Amino acid sequence: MRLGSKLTALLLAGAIALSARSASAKLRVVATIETLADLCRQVGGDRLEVTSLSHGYQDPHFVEAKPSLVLTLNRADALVYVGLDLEIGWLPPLVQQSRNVRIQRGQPGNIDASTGIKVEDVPNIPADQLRALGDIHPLGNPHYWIPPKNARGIARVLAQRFSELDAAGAAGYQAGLAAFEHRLDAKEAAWDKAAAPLHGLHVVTYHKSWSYVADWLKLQEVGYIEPKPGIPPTANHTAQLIALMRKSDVKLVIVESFYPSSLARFVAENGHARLASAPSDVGAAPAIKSYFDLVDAVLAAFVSGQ
Amino acid sequence: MLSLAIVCLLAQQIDQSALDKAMAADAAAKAAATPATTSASTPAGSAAPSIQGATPAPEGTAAGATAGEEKGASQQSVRAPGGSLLNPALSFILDGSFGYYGAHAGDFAALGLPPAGDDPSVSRQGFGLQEIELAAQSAIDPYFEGAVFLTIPNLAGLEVEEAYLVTTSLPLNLQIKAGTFRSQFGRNNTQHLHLQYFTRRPLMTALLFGEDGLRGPGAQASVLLPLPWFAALYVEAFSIAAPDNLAGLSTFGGGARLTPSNLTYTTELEQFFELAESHSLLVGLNFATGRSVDCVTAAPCVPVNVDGPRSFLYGADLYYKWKPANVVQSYASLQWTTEFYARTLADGGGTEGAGYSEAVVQIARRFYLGARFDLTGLPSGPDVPRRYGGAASLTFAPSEFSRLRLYAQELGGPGVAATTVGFLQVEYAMGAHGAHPF
Repeated sequence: MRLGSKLTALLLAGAIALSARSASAKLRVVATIETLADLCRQVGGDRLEVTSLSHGYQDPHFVEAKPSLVLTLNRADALVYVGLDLEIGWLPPLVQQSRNVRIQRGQPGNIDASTGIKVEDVPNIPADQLRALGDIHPLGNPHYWIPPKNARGIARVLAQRFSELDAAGAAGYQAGLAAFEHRLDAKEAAWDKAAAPLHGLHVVTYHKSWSYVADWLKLQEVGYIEPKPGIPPTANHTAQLIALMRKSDVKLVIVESFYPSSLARFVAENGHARLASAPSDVGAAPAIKSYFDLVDAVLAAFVSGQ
Repeated sequence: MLSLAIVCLLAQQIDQSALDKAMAADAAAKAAATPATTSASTPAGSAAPSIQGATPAPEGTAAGATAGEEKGASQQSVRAPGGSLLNPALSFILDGSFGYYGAHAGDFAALGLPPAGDDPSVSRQGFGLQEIELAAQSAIDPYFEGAVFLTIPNLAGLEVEEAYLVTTSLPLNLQIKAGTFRSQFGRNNTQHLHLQYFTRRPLMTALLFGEDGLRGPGAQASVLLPLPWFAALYVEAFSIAAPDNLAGLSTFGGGARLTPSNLTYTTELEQFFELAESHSLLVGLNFATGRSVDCVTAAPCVPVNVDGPRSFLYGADLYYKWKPANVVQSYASLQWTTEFYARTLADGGGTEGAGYSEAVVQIARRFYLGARFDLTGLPSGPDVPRRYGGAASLTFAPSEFSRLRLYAQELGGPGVAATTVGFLQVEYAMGAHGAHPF
């Protein structure tokens, strides 16, 4: 009994020592994609030490669940993820193995960025028929972080949650958020102006991952190069798509820069449209260092083609 | 080990409530200074352990609940079409096959290579269902995650492949797993059938680990070592039952309680090295010891009473993966796995060994080409004969949820006729999206 209570006391002391963080230490935030990492930095600035589990030139559906990421997660105070099952293929086992209570589901350090946005494309069909439509996301479309409205929503969630995790920095996070929103307001006006020629444009995209952007820029999605999400293109579908493009006067073919662009180029050329190989995440190219760079680059790709 | 888990949980509880009090005091102190901060942190109060303990938050809605009431509500309505909120993530996995163990009946048996439990059936060849698996996974509460994997191998009755809980909130980088589960020993042994690129398990499986691999009711404690690279140390104890097949020696098993505790103990050290962004190396060192069961030399043989010599199983596994992160370059990837183990029996029982090396190359987005070389009987002995196996497989994955596979294997050895094994295999997974382990 005495041994038991001693052991308990020892473990308790160890646990407190491990979980206590000195007030001056930075909050260690791990984001699943680089855009979320950048939004964290925009809001938290020097109060945070931010790392991203994936790179902007990777397909975020398929990140290698390397054990080294377990180590990164083990040391995190907070985990910020896209949610809506985008990371379902690789994140859950990493979080489980991290042995880090702070980032487990239900903990304040487990931050689902999708709680800051209005989710679109929630499939409204019986669950047993979902997979017949390909690898669709049953909780809604998770490719939401580019439109300014959503970046604003994500940043607000981040500021609130960081303030809860690090009360001493609350004023700093609110100031960071205000500065971000201020800059966003100015950029949004410029982006709207730059995108004006795109309004009403008929587009074809590779994966159904540009719907939020299409809504924002008032583009009309006519078709997708993938016959169904996650299913590689077939000759038959491609031929039908090209015919459809000619009929519906599609002007632009959009493909994420991490997908092979040769087929998209073929589709664009034969469908008499321009090809935009667009970045979808910060870090997709070395010059894209922030959320603002990302949106600038997306619009540049859309407006000028590539 | 379980008492350690309970103590750890207890410590965790006390720790949480102590912190809770401290946080309340802190918040009260801050309330005086900055009222705005306090109101902002009120929703997070719902994440305080005392309240959460009374009403466990359902998975998926938990994050929404802490992030503000409005958004939480919208997330819940998003969940609705997927089905009932509190059901665990369910999936069914099927592995069907068509093929034969050699052109002539009896050729395969003459090799003396017992098949693994989830290999295609030897007694009923032609069409077969290697395995039907039902998987359920869920968070249990804020402290545990749970999983149940029921399987029907070769249409021969329901088995529990795994059913366990894992802790998520122990201090000191500890994790406890308890229930019945696959040992962390080696690499292939940890994997379910549907994670593999070959129709059959390596030949060493039934010879050294047991028909169903090294698995059973037990407990595991693991810790992440405080090193700059990933290094995890596992310690396990199992109660391995008497084997179904008594025709050969089994490394572990038997129900006898002839010693104070007739358990099988294992320990594994797993280390990961990121050589470059696209090149990774996983190295495992493994050791296990327990009582062997030998019905061949014990007469009469009553499995629960057989007390074979103590056995020691040890060896290493090596896994190298090359996969460029940027798929624009190509979809090509390479996985190379090599495992080798030796078994030593106490009381002068000698040492026998077996292993394999396999490479899987992704040749296009949906095509995988695999080659495996098996070697058993190095050194050879009465229970592990010298045999060679060469296998090739071609896997086509139409989507993430289905696979078609062609598999051929040539088996032979000194003094036995060579045998060619061939199978066509189909595999599907329906239900929850599984994760891809590294």
